[in-house]
Amino acid sequence: MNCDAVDELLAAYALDAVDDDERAAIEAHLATCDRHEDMGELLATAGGLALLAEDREPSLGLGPRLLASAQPDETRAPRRSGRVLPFRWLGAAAAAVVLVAAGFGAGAVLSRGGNESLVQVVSTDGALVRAEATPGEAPVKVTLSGLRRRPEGEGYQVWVVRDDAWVSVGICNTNENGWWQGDFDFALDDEDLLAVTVEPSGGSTRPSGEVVLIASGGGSAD
Amino acid sequence: MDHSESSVSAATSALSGAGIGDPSPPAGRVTGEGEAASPAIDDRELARRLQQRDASALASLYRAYRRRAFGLAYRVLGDAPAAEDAVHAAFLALWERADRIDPDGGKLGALVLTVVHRRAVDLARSRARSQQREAPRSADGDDLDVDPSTGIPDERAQQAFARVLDDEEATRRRLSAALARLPEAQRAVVELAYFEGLTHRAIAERLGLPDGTVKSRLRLGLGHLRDALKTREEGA
Repeated sequence: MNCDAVDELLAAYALDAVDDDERAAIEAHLATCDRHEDMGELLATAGGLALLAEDREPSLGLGPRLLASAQPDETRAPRRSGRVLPFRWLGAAAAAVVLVAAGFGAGAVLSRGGNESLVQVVSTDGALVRAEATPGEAPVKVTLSGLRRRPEGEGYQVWVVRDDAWVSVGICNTNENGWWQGDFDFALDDEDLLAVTVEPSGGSTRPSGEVVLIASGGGSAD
Repeated sequence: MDHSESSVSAATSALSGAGIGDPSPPAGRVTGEGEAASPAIDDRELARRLQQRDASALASLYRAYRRRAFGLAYRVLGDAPAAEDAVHAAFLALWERADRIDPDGGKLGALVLTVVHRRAVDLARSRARSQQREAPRSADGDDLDVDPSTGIPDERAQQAFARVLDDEEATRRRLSAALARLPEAQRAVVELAYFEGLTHRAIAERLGLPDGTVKSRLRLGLGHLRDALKTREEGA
């Protein structure tokens, strides 16, 4: 494709109105030719048209779907920092967990327990908590993803919250891919909350840092 | 199992702020909600983290731009499931090919929208082709038969688009007004191209015009829109 042909198609190219063959030919030409000085402006103008579309909220499931697709193929062995504090809830039964993540918008249940052992809870922006458990029995295998690895001296602390009482059940940190998995010796019921906060790496006796996730058992997802 | 009344109170407030129970405002550092609800994204840092395969960076990117991305895809495709497929494919392409992101290219939002538009257009055309041959799905069951590695523009394009988005509201107003001022013949082809994802040949076919006429109208129309934005920049 020569310069004249490219010029003729440049506006169509900027608007994504060329076919794949034309696009490839134009891009090959532009890679070696500096003559088409207005290309950048046309691309920018066409791109600006995106601003004329009305913002819309996608479904709650899209973020988790994206994050699940983007999971690294090689997930490293679960890494724990600090100690895991045992906790057993009186008469607790494993239950569906609905994320209502602080600062992350409403959450959604992708699959909920019943007699099943897998519960996955998510936030609209892709941060994810998954709880795997046999109903009514400890332990619960907890997976966090989409949470940035905390720097040296910090970690994520997982809490069970019931009747205003926050009880630490463990401390962890995600890996460089934003992922962590481990077992906690507790079971949730419908009234429980599961919370994750940022704390010093040794953990805190009470929540003192940012609440990055809060999941409530059962109930509404709002 | 140590906890204090004061911490419980603060934590309860945090939960309230998160939408549980009483909607009183969150208190203290425990909440962190204010920061998270309106993230101040450092695009350069976010690009760097994407290139390091930091999944939380993808989550941040998605959180920041999901509404705009989905709105654009919906405008092109006209239905939510297809628009979500396009948004999903676009963010995944950015994740898979983060090495092609120019950290100095300016706003990541510009890049997101460019890729989302490309994916939406690709999907619209794929769907149209499927309808034409009455084969709704490709053999592997994936109706998004496009190369997932494509759609990320080169550094020059990223930087150019980012300049336009420096002042989004002003750009939106200028472009909206300029589009309305275009001659109907030019406006129609620009909108069919950008918002319906038609190629210049498909537009010619739909409007019963020679292909050369459509290409000419696209040049003139987009040129007028470009001039409207340049006027703003020169006047600034």
